[in-house]
Amino acid sequence: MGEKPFHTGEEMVHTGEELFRLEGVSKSFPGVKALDNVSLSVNKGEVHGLVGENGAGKSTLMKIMTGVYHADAGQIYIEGKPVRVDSTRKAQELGIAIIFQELNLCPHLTVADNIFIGRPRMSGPMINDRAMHAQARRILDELGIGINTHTVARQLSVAQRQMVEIAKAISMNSRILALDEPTATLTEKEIAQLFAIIGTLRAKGVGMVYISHRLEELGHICERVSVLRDGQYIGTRFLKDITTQELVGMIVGRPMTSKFPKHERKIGPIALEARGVRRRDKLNASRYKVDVDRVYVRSGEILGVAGLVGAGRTEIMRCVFGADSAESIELELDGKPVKIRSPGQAIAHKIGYATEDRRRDGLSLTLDVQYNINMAYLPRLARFGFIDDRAGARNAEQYRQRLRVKTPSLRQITRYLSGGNQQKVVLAKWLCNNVRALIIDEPTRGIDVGAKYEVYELLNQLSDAGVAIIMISSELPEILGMSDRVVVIHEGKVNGELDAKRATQEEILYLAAGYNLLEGKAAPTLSDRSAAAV
Amino acid sequence: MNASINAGQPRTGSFSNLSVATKKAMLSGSVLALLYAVFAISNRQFLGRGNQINMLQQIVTYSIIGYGLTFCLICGGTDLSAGSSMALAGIMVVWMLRVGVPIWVAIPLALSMGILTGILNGFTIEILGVVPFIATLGTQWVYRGLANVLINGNPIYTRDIPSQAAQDAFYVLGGGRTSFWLPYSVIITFVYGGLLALVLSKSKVGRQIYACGSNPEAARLSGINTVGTRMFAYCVSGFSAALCGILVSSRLSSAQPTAGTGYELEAIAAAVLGGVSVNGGEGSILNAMIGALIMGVLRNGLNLFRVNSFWQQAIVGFILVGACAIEARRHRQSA
Repeated sequence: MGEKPFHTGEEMVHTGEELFRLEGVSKSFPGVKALDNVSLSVNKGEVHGLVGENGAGKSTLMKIMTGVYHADAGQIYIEGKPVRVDSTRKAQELGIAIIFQELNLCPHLTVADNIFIGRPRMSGPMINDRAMHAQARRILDELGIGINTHTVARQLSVAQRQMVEIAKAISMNSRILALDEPTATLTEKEIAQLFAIIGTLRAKGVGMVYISHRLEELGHICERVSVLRDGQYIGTRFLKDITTQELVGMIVGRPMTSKFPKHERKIGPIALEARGVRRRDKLNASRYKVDVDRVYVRSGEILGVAGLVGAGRTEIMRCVFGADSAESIELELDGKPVKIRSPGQAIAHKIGYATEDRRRDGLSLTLDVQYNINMAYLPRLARFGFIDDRAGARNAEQYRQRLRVKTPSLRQITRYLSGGNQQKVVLAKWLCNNVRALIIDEPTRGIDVGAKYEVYELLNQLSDAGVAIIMISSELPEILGMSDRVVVIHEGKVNGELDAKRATQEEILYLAAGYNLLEGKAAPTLSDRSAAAV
Repeated sequence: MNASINAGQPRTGSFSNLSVATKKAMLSGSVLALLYAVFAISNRQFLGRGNQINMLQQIVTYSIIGYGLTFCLICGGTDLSAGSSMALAGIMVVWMLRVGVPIWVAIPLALSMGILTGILNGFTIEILGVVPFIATLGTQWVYRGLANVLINGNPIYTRDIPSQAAQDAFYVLGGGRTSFWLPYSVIITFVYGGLLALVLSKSKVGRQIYACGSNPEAARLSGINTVGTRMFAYCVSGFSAALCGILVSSRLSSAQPTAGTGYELEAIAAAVLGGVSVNGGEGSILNAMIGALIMGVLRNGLNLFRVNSFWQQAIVGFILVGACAIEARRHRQSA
C-alpha cells in the first residue's frame, strides 16, 4: 500500500483560480504557540487536504478561518482581496462555513427547520412552512441528497445529519467549506455518497478544506494536501507527486517505515468463546440485531472484527461483556463455561472492554487521570470498604509510565488530555486488571499517527503476554495489519472468517456487504490490489 | 505533542493540581471569611458568645440535610423529599416516645425510617426509572402526607412523654450543651460531617458515587454497580434527614408535620454555594459545610442588622443565582 502514489488517476475536476488564502497566520495561547506563520490557499472547486497529528493546529486554523478565534498575526484573502474575519457572523457573511466533527443539529426539529435555523422563511409574522420546505427540497435536490425535509433530525443517521449540515452551509451561500474529519464515523457506502456530494459542490465552484486522519481517502478527492506539525506549516504537495510514506514522514517529522509494527505471535488454545449469541433489535423486535452462532479468540491472538458501521459488531461484544442483556448466550473462558450478566462479572473473570467512544462511555472526563485508571481496579484497592490511596497512586503511576501517558500529573483532569493520551488512560484501566481477554472497539479512532503506532505496539505486547484480544475496527488497513484472524459481521451475523495474512481489503468489504465467498462468487475488483492478492 | 496537552488549558502548577472541589472550597471559604470579617467589624453583637452559638445551632439543619444532598448531587441525582423525611422522622420519634418506646429503640427506629425513605426514593428512580427530580417531588408529598396522617395534622409535644427521664434524655440531644456552652447538636453536625467526608473521599462506595455522577455509562462498563451506588446515596440522604428531624424535634421539644418545609431547597442552595456541582461528579462534604456556614453567617448577620426576613430571602436568592452563574461560566470555559 505504502509504495503506491496517492493519485488514483481518475479524472480531476478542473480547479479554477484562487478563492481563498491565509497568509502568515500565527496564534498563541498562554504558554503555547498553537500556530506559527501558517499559510494555506484554496482554489475555486478545489478540495484541499489538511493533515497533521492531533494538536498540530488544524482545529485552531479552522477556528481562525471561521472567526471563532482571532489570529495574532497574518491576513486572510478572498479572491485576492484582504478581509477581516473577526466574528462567526462575519465569516458567515463572507461565505465561510465549517462542518464540525460533532454535528450541531437540533434533534427535535425537522430537516427544513434545521437548514433554516435562525433565519426562517416568513410571510408576515408567521413562519411560511411550505416555502421553507420547498426551498430546503431545492437545496437538497441540487446536492443530490434524498432526505425528506419533514424528517426529524434525531431520526437521521450520522451520515444524513452531516448532509443536512452541508445543505445548511450551502443555503447560506457558503463558498468556502471546511470539513473536519467528515468520514470518521461513516460507512464505506456513506463515504461514497459524501464524495458524490463533494463532487457536486466542486462543480459549483465551492472551495473546500478537508481535514482527515485517513490518508487513503485524500487520494480520492484531493489534488493538493497541506501538512501542519506542532503549529508549524510544513508544506503543500500535489498528491500525485508524493507517496504515502513521504506524506506520513511530513506529518510525524520522522521517516516511518511501516504503519504497523512487525510482529510474530505465539497463539495458544481458545481463551474466550461465545456461542448462540442472540439479541433482538431495539427498534424492530422482529429481527435480531445480534445473531452469532460461534465466535472465539485464542490466547495470544488478535481477532479482528470487521463490518460496516451498524452491522452489530459493537452490540455482539457488549453482549459478551454483559453490558447489554442477550436473549441467549453461552460463554466459555479457557474451556470452562461461565455466566456473565453484568460488566462487573465480566471484569471479575478478567475480561476488559475499551469502548468505541472514549468520551461518551469510556472515561469520566471530569475526573483525574489516576481516578480513571483505577476505576475498574477499586475492588482491589479497598480494605474494609476504604480505599488505599497510596496503592492507587502507585498503580496509576506504574501504568502511566508503562503506557507513556503524556500528562502533567496524575491529578490532571482527563478532559484536557489529547485523544491519544485519553485512549492510553482507557487501556491502562484495563491493563492494571491483568485482563485475560480484552475487547477493544475502534482502538485508534481520532488519534494521531504517532499515538496509533504506540497503541499497536501495546496490543502486540499484550498478545505476547498471552492476552486474547478482540479488536473491532472500521479501518481495514488496521484490521489487516494487526489481526491474526478476521471475522466479518453482516447484519448481526458472522458472514465469513479470513486469515489476516492472506485477506485483502476487497474480500472484507465483499463479506461486509453481505456476499459470501464460499458461494463461489468472485470478489468485485475494486482496484489492482485484489487482482494481485487472489 | 506538548501543544496537544496544554493547548488552551490551565497551565500546570501546584494550584492547578488541586481538585476542582478543593479549589471551589478555597474560593467559597474565602467568601465565608470575608463575610464573617465584615459582620464582625461592623456589628458588636456578632462576635458575642450567645450569638455565635446561636448561629452554629441554626446551621445544623442546612448542614446535615446538605450532606445527604451532596451525596445525591455528586452521583447525578437530587432529593427533594429530604424536608419531608425530616418531618416524618421527627414525628415518629416523638410519637414513639409518647407511647412509651424506650429512647434507645425509638431513635434507631426513626433513623431506619430515614433509610427506608431513601430506599423508596432509590427504588422509584433506579428500578421504576422515574427521573430523580419528579420521583422525589412525588415522595416529598408521600412522606409529608404520612407525617400528617400519623398525628392527624396537629403538632405533638415532648411534655406528653410519660417518663420525665425520657423527656430529659431526649432534650439533651438537640437542646443540650457541653460545659463550655457548645450545643451537642453542633458537635454531632461536625462529627457526622467528618464521618461522611471520610466515606465520600476514602471509601470504595464514595469513589463509585463520583464515577456515577461523572459518567454513568463509563462507570457501569468499569464494573461499578451503579444502581446500588445511587441507592446508597439516597439512603445517606434519607438517614441525614432523619437525624436532622430528631435533633430539631429534640431542640424544639415538639414535632410538627410542617417541619422542614423547603429545607431541601435551602440545603441544595447551601451545597451549591459551597461548590458542589449540580451537574454531578464534583463536590465534597467540605463544600457543603462551607456553604451551610455562608448561609448561616449571612442570615445571622442580616438579622443583626435588622434586615427584614423577606429581604433576606431575596438576598439569599440573588447570591445563589450569582454563584450558579459563576459556576456556569466556568463550565462553558472548560467545555
